[in-house]
Amino acid sequence: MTPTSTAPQTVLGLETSCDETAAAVVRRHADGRAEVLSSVVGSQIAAHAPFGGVVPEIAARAHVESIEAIAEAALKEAGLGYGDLTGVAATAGPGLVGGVMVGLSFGKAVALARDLPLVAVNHLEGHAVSARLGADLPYPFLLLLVSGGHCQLLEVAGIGACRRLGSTIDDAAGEAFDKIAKAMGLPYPGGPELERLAEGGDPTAFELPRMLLGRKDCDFSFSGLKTAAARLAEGVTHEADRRNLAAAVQEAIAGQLAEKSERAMKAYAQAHADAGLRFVVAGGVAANRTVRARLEAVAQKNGFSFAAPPMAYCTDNAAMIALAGAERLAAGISDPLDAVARPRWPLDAAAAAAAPTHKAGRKGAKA
Amino acid sequence: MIVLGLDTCLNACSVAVLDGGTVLAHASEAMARGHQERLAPMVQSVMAEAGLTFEQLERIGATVGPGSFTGLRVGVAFAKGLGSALAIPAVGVGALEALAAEAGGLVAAAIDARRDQLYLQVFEDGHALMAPDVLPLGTAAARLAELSMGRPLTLIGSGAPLLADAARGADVRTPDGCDARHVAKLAAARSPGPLRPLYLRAPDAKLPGGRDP
Repeated sequence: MTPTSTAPQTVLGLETSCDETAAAVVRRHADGRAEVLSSVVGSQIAAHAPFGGVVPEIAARAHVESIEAIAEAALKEAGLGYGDLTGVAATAGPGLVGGVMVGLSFGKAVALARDLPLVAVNHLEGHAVSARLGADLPYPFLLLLVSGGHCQLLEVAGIGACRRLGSTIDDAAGEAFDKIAKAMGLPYPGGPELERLAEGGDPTAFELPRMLLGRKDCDFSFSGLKTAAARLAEGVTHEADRRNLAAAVQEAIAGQLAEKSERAMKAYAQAHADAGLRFVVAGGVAANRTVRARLEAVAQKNGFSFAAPPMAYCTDNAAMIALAGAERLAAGISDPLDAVARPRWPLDAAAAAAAPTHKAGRKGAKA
Repeated sequence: MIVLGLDTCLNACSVAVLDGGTVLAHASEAMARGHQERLAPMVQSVMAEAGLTFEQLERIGATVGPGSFTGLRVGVAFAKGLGSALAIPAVGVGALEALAAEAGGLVAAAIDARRDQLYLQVFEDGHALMAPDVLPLGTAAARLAELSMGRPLTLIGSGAPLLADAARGADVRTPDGCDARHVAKLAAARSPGPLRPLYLRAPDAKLPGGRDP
């Protein structure tokens, strides 16, 4: 797929699609190995916390305020200047488009001023390659991308070559974590708080709905679980009960992720028996230890190796965007200066159009 | 000094490059949206038309608002990218100030801020008589009457027709956006400082329970 031997690429990555303003410098060596020279993430959590979620306009304002300082910090940390770069990669979607435009505009200006190629990166492709930042992980692999905004199973054959095997039909898993946590009165962002609360809780103390149990596909659903858990949360006051409910929620989410991943593994194994079976989990929810443990067990059971990016590259970051850009440049792919910022941008456009999991919106499939 | 001026705040995307008072090249396209897509290609072609390389630029000037939040951020982010990559100052220019630079004497720049409000700033011979502000239509009209005291006046911007009744006989002009040539000139004339958007409005967001932040 990707040429195995090309000139080294040193790429500035920019990520502004949600509530982290991030910049990184990644070098892709001639042999395909990735080296993170710097990765700077400026979090806006404090700015959004009073609202209990990400406010798009507040996010966009924070991005434009800090983008230059963050990009310069990434170069400084890498010990490089703009003149040492061979390309610029900026997230062009999917995401909060006001923020996306900030990073993309900044990136275009750098590319133009320094006569560098621009790559308009799909944020999901960034997550897809993120496990290659920390380890030597060859293509192809089976990917579970599970974050606050996304929940998909993808067969990743190479850069720009993803096939969707399953996707959530309503909420993303991370969204379910955050919203249930919010209903339980935990501070934003709730996912990690819920994980802390669940420690020592009894996951069998509450019965929660198991979604899409009868379906044979690899699609996910979390909205029923979210509603049921939020309703239960209203009547739960004792600390022990709260711990138990948090543990039950975590178990239900981890269980569904493991179950659908296993189903995808069985299908994937039939097609890729001789290529080596690799399972990768990426995205912010991969930071949850219960989720990670369940997936690791299911991978082992099905003969798959298990890989997850280092924690710092699970959540939104620009190193993954820089690497996606570097791999595209190595494959001879770049984008024009009129590249659009896209609120919706499915990684597997064909699958998203043929079998939309969300009700077809005016602007097409989200992811 | 060779200065690149940009405007993406209003209903146009405009680019100009000047050497001192000489306009080397400029371009402007009317558009309500799509500034993000058009800005970089327009800058590229204006620079080519001027026969300049980016290393020859000495300063960037960009409008910072008030105007479309999305549009002004595109211009500010782009100007910051150029300034950072070229290690030259990127200087902010108010959109009302840039609009008013099109006329001499007494000038009121007014942008339709919707919700029956105007972004307003009044100038006399290039000097601001008030800080840029967002005002209800009636308040804006009263403010303008107070500052103009019946003198001849130019009203400029998308909000100009909304004030025409309050300033009879005024020369009313409604350009799509700011003239990037004026943006470059104004940027050249001031000392560089941090490049910050001028929104004049807080983000539309409510705290839990519907409270204002």
